[in-house]
Amino acid sequence: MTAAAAAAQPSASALEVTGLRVRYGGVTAVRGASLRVERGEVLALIGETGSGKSSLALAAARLLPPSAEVTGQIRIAGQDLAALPPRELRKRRASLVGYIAQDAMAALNPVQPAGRQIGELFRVHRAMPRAAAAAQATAELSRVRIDRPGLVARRFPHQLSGGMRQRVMIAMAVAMAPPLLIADEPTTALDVSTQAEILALATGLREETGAGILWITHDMGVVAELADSVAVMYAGRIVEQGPVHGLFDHPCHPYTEGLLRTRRDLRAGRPGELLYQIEGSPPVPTATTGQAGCPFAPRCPRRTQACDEQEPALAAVAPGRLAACHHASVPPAAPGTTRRPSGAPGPAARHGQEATR
Amino acid sequence: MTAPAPDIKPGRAAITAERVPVLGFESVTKRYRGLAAVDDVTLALPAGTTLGLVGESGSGKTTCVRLALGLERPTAGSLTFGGRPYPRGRRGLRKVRRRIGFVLQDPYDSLDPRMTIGDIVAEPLRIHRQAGRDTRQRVSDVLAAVGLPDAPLDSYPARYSGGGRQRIAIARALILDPAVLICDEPTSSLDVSVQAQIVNLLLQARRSRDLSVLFVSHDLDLIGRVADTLAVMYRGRVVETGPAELVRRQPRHPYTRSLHEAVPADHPARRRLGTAPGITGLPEPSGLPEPSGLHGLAGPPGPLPATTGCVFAARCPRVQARCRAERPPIVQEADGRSHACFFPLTDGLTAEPVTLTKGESAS
Amino acid sequence: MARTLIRRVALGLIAVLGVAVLAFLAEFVVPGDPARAIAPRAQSAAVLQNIRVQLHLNQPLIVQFADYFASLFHGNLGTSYVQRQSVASLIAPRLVTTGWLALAGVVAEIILGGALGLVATLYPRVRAAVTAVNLTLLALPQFVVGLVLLLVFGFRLHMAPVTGGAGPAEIILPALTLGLVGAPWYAQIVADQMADSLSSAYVRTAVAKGLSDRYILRRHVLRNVLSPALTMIGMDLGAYLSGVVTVEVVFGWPGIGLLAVESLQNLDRPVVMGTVIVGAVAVVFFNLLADLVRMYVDPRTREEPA
Repeated sequence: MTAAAAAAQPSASALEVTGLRVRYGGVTAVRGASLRVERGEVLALIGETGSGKSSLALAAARLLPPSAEVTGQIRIAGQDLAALPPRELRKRRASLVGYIAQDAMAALNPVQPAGRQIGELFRVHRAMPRAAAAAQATAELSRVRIDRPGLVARRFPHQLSGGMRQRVMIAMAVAMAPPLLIADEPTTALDVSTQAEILALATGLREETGAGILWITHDMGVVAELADSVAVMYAGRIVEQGPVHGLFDHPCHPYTEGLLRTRRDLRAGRPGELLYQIEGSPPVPTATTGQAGCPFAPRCPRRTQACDEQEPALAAVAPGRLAACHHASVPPAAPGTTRRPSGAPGPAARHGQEATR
Repeated sequence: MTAPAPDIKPGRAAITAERVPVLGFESVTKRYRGLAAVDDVTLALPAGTTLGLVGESGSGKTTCVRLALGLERPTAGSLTFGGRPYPRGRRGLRKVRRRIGFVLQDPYDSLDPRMTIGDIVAEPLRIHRQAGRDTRQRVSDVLAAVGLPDAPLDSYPARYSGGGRQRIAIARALILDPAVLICDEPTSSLDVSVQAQIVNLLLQARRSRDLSVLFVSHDLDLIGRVADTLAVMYRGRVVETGPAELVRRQPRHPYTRSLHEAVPADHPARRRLGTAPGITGLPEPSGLPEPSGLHGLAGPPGPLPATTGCVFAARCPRVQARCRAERPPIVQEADGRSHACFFPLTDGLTAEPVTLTKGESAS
Repeated sequence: MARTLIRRVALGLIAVLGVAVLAFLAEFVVPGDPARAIAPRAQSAAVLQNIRVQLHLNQPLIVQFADYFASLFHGNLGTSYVQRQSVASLIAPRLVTTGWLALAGVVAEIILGGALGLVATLYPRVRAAVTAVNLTLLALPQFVVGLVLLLVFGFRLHMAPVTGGAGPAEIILPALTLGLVGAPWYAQIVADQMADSLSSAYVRTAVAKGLSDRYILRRHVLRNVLSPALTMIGMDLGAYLSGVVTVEVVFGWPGIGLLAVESLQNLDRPVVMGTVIVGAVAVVFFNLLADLVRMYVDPRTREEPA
């Protein structure tokens, strides 16, 4: 880890987001989200269109356009980037957070060879001479398991395959050894075989670098393969959060349960049988701003009147398990602890409404 | 030899009665600038069934769709509809196209944003000169059938979500009551929570209209639920075919297995992707010797220049010298399976496979 | 890449040939008798007929066509009807003169247009004003701009020479005219490309890498702006070299455009044909050159898409 990253509180989480609200283009994309990514851990943020996951990722990396309104706190390795003067920010950001974009073809400079784009980091931030920077860039490429790094370094992005480009992006993100990596759906546009390679690479890198990784995805399979903990986003808010095993075994929120069930049914069902489906469509961000009630209610099998009137807050349902639902399922407690009865002191009860199932 | 060709406009009954595949590829090759996007491909879609075409980018599956729709003509080989070869002229081709409906991947691209959904769905009627007084009614009926019963005919696609648009596209595909439905990755661009809805819609439509379906996808799980038979493609060639369940559970070709193994787990306790070695990943082979022993990884996309040997040789974990020297012929097994590999995986292999006389083979 | 270039050159040659054929045929549609233009005071028909025979004007069209193009392929542009000089020797010096004007004009429009585009991008509040300026300049015909400049700076303020000539002082106004009229195109390209680049994913990556704004503009944005700008420059150079007729006429700039106008009035066909062909060659040549430079700057344009 670089001196800069270490100097900023070695014990601090890689990423700590508190009460994040993001608004741009007249739309509130994120409506109060909080999460934490520890070093050496992968937090998968899963959501569909309109969930706000990409906006959260961009906000955390401080890459939203200046016209965006961002409120709330974002700390990377204990450092609040908003508090830094612009020049400091520029100098330190690459060693604090590495951002891996979804579309590597668009995110790489089309008129520069791959090696030079990585080398640029060393020339600008470490004042390395060109030859040394080039050599270091080639070393970074072999770190992401590219067999012939010298050859790839000389090529332009449009001359590389999709998987190769993604590796270049990853190499660029880890080059300055930041304590935090933010990966925004890096495998969505890739073939399943290529995706498998990248996931394997990510697993390896997590161990090698000790960085905390915020991995955005819409695919539960990716979550299963990679994540230590999971946050589920819907309509701009986090609706469930917890460790990956617990979440897969016993999801609390009906949306999470729907996603998991869809996936399991796809794999296990018999040919010709109808698939399990969640009704309706994910809401468009403009539709949800200012509406009362839970945004998932129209699609929810557990819907009651309480759901239409009051949006549930994200609350602890069990140790380490958070869910925003009036009718959250409670996972079975570990032996030896008392089990919280269902429907009791949740926000529904606080407002004098009975929680029904 | 196939049965004598049926009438010019084969009705569905005629096709089923003759047992002729409603759609067929016979040794079809399509070259672009000397590179074969589709190389000696033979496929058959029996009436009333669903053929799944599985492949990743560069496999040639999209080219197959374009050939089936008559958007391209094969460089070699021929396509058949109802046993008869595709007509060459526009008029003849139109007759075939009237019997084929299609749904493509991108719901945002496939609908003209300037047309109302009523016009979009009615367009096939107009093109094939079946528009008349009942057009409005037919459009409403088919929209209701795809789950949009209250959609105003004068609304525009912009009003609908990805799932909604795909429903409109399906309505358009079904309005002429086609014999064949071709779906090219119809759910890949949709949200996960919506994909199942669209797949279910297709399954129901298929059943109620007795459709024969060519379903193209890269998602092995999805296609296992939808297809009766599978054909796996890699770099322009068909490497394996057979009943869907068997091909998925007991693949013969190493590529099929690697595809299966690349699918992410469904539970963290069953993680399996582990670490994988690196690849060169250049879009075209650079003429340098490819490292072998790469376990289960597909190569870079795109057609290869004419090479000797198996297309998968460079990436195959089971590769031997023979694989590089000769192209494996298509080998037919019992129960409708076939594969193109000298050293197929043999779990569950019951009888001795029989070699077809296609392709170069020493045996 | 070689295949692309060869194809372009071949197409260019065909284009030049096509232009020449069309121009030749067009000549015959133009009313007027060249013989009479040469000897306007001749009285007898015999003299006129004599001239016609001398110049082969009495031959059928096909023969004249064949004659002309045969000598063209030998590199001979013919002799002027009026001046008793080879067309080539007439055109050459004029071409050079126009060349200077073309160069100056392109420089002027790049500077003016680039400035407008940059201002519109970096200062969004004045963007509407810049758009208004652009539209005005686009709407104004060249000769109006030229005449206004001549009037204001030449006759009223006596800041620039008003008589024809081809010196450094005389080039200012006509070059400025070209610059003003052509600026909006470059302003548009610059503004569009910069807006595109600045909101693009790869600039976002550059920001994430902690590169400074100026560095990003220089290293990452500029190249992408250059590509379409170069295409435009090639087109402009070619177009101007084929004769900026209106500007040359307004300012009396003795270039190839003025020559073409004079020859047309004199029905001096060989010279007219010569200017047309030279113009076509210039257009093809500079477009090709621009393509070459662009291929160097932007590697994506090196291959034709598959």
